[in-house]
Amino acid sequence: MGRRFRSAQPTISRHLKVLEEAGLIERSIEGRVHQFRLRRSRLQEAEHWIARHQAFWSGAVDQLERLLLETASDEP
Amino acid sequence: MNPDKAVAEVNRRLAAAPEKVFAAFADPAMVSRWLKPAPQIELSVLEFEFRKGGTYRFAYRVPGGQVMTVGGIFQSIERPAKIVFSWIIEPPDEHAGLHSQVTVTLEPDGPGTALRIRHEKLTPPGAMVRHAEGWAGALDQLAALVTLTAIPNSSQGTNS
Repeated sequence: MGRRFRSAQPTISRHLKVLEEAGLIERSIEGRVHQFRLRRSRLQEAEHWIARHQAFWSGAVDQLERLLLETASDEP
Repeated sequence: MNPDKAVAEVNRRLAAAPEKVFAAFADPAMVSRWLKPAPQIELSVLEFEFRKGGTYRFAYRVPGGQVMTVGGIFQSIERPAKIVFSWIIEPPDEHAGLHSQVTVTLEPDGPGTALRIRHEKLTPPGAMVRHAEGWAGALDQLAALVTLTAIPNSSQGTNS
């Protein structure tokens, strides 16, 4: 792996550990072989997270609009 | 994730003048009536000091009874044109620790207002996903490589 990435083995191990802790990859160990599997769902979660905030504000502005209409009609 | 992409933005033209729209952001009684994603979600305004450096705290109760608390500081207030505040999700929410920022801009639009709400620094906490896009290419290579190197060779122990 080090040859492929042109990095020292400890550097690669450290990067893999960061990715593992972030939940982006999963490690399975068999003997001395560590296998890593990419978890694409974590990338999708990040997109979902933005979409959730978009929906929050869009919903809030819907209600703001309604409230402004109500208060406008309350006025004499 | 690229920080430039960690943004949610809503733009809307409202019939009311900027001063009226601004008032809906400035008054806690008004805020509790609208600053939530859906009518069935209950918003309790726990703190609300609408001045520069002042704090606010909102508790959102969803119909199931779950509560999410958000708070922050008003970083900038320019009546009736702009409000900037931090938006921090409190524990025990799974997203606690998010330290994001909201900028509200109001511009006159005829008799009404062009409202923009920009929610930035939406980097999901916990997951270091902002690194993810940069890493995605490397990960693809990694996945391919791992598949290749997964052929047992463990007795040598040199293939990490």
